[in-house]
Amino acid sequence: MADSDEPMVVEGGAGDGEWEGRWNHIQKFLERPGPFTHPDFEASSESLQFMLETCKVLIIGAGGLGCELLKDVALSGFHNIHVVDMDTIDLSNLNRQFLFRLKDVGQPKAEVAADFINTRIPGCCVVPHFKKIQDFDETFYRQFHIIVCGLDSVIARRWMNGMLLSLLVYEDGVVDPSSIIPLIDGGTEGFKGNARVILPGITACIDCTLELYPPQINFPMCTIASMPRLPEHCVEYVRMLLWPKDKPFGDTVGLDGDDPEHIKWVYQRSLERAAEFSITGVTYRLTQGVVKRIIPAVASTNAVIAAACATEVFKIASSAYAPLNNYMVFNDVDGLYTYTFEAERKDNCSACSQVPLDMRFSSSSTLQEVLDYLTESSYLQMKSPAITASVEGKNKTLYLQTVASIEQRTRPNLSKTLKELGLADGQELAVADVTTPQTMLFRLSFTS
Amino acid sequence: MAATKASKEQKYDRQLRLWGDHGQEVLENAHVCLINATASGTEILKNLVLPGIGAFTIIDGHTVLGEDVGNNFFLSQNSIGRNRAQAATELLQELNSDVSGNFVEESADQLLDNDPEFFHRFSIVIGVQLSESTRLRLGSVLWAVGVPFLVCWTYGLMGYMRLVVKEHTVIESHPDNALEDLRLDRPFSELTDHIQSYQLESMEKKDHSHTPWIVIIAKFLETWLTEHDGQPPKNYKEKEAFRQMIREGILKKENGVREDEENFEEAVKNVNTALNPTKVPSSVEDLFNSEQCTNITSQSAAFWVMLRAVKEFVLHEGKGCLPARGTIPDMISDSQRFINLQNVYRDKALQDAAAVAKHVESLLQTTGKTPETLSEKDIKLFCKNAAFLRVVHCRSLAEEYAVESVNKDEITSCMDSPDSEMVLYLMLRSVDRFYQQHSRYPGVYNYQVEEDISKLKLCVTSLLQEYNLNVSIKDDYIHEFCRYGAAEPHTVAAFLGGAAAQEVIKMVSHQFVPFNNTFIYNAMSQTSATYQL
Repeated sequence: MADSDEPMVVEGGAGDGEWEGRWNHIQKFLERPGPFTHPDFEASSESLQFMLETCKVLIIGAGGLGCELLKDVALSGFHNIHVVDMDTIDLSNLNRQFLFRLKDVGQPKAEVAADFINTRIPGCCVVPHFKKIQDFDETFYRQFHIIVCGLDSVIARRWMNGMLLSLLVYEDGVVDPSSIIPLIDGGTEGFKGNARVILPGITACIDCTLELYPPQINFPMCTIASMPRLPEHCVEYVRMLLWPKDKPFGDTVGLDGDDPEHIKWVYQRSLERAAEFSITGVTYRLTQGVVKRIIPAVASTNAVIAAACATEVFKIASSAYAPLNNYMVFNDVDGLYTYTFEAERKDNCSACSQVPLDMRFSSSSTLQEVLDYLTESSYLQMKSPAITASVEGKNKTLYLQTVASIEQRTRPNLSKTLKELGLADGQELAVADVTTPQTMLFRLSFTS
Repeated sequence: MAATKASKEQKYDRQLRLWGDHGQEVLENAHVCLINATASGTEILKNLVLPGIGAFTIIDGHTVLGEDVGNNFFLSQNSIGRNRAQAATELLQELNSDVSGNFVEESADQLLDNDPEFFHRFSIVIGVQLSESTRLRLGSVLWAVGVPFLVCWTYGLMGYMRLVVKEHTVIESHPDNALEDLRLDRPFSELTDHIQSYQLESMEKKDHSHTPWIVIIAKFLETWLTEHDGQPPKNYKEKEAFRQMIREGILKKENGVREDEENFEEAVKNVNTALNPTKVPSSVEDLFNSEQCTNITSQSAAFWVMLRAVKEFVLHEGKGCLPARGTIPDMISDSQRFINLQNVYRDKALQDAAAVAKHVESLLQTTGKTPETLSEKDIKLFCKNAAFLRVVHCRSLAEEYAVESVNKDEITSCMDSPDSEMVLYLMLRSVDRFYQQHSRYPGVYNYQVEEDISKLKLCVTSLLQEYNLNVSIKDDYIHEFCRYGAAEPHTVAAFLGGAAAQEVIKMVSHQFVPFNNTFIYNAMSQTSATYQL
């Protein structure tokens, strides 16, 4: 790298790859007292040392937000960074995920991103993990001082949220501050975005504000099957009904939105379907958008939201200022608009409220009704919950979807009433789901 | 050739869904100028290079210092000692081979002295971390030739943007929550005829349950009008009665219980918005009455010619209405009925656009221009967006800074809340003065912080006096701005980089609406404000 210039060592700084003035822009916030600093703040020339050498930051996601976060955090004085991402690089990422180039397509995002940052920013050590967040347990997450999420999935967010809540240690009902790992979460969609700071056990968590993430609306089946009106209906028809029937690429071959041949097939059939009903507007781009549920994205929104998140990382690690309290919304469709407010904790939050949640059903309700409640209620929004209960002293799986053989065995339970299943008033049901790393407890109250 | 086009479509897919192929084309033909490749500057450019801006030119006479590399992703350790424009261009160019990067190793002031016309070639000039005098000089040159100017400044935990453009028109503003254009209060003849073709009372259940709610409301409205002397439901009570009328229209089973007719539920839900009177929005009326619309000459931009044509349409064929938009929302309906209804609106829109085109033709003729100047496609797009047209006028910097025209009212009323973002604006203007007087910024070195506080305070006082602003600024802010020492922390620069880049894209593409005209970001509180100064 630097064969011509002699790196100049900063007083008290690290060895190689340091030069004079490197941290001037940041130093002013760490070494000087000020009128707006956090009460915990102490001006010191040692804070930079802590941030560079000791502070460990975890960045979840190395995509649109992740690339920006890596750059922002690395240039803010943090050199111990881990990044987790289970994806590989796609051509359509390159309009904003600037740590990747054409030659990197197909490679793991976390690894290429880490490489780029480590090369561009001397002294920075980003450790990549080409894995799912669920592949790690609390021993992994516990090592970090701050965790920042740049995810594109509500399920993943809720899982992270649940993981950090599970790390909390309570003494006499009060949370031990040293067990709290701040979670900074960013999200973007087109020209809209938001950044929030979550102090698990203290502030509102992801699940406290689940209504801010409304579930995706799918088209009604009868529209898709027999009454299409929009080009989107035609594509959904091909995706959901025609493909499983025709199996165009083989009996076991599912529709892969990333395979251009698959999309081409869907596009052709969608055109045919549309022609049948005199519907115009089916294009290749629209087809791909529907199949892959594509969300439009640009570099600028990701830059803004990641920057806001990284500013919070800096504030929290240095105590230089009070952190955002606790939710900022951004939109630059018409001028630039931000709105900052304090999201409130929910007393009965399914994730952070600590007490088993009440579930009220008549004893003659069926297990199916309980299942529907878990998936459809706007504040639970579970995906495929597995329900177990202690019946006559034994742990009984009432219903589990994710393993085919168990699903078959327990399916008859869905049409049985709670009474028939041997459940008693006041008993606890344990529910596991992808949306949370820990099993959730519900207390069953019979209304009749 | 075909391969590159296809791979560009793939690469830019996610953004093409926002501004379309036509927006991308304009972007790829634009040439932006950045003055000063500081972190703020390179972050702005990064967010323009990635989406494929045609070309950029960096103007910067500075030599790269150690601290520049520390906060700037597009400078590396071996950039130290080199010219900053050159060093940054290399690493920015590397982001996207579709883009053409250039640099000029001179300061903006030097160029203004020797070759001010150099700036005329750009689609927009972005000036970052500029001193007041350079800012004003540039502002005046660019204002005179109509080149938009975006001033950006990251100062400590504050981000500042100022857009300077005399007139910026937007046809495709893409409003978030647009009201539909259904004409139910004043149905055109083809719509009335189409509604006539329905006989709800004699329909079979299947057809009855799949009749579009637009038809349902139209039918019941006809009945209401005959029963109410031609007056539509106006207040809450009447609208509720109207909703009830529609509910009564739901088919009943033999036992008298209502059937499940979702289309009727939709109709009830949409009564409020469906009864909105069709009229020309006041914002568009204002545009009709503007000078540019009233005086169409051979110099008039396409926007004003088309606007005038629409105005003529409104006065004549439109009978007080804008050209029909031609779209309807999705609704419960069988395919045939929906498509037929949609076509009624579509055909009307085509008809209206053709009438507008005739007005365009005659306007162009009177100004001596050929009709080919404006294509059918342009006119159709204009008509479709007629209700959402926007024009932005930003005052010149000269006007903002002159004592006679400073926006005293805005500044004073905002300062009623002493912690509003306006205080940051006033501090920035005070820092300008400090620089003018001392040729440096306050508190850059540790030992200067204390002593500069009183010096900066004098600047604040003189600023407020000169503009006769009866406001007070807390000492805390003066201390804080000395503490900043003109630092440019990366995360604040990155925020501004994203915000500014998108405004540049708006200016170049003429899609979405730019801010007017001062944007302030407070990274300490994570709040922002926009002021028209």
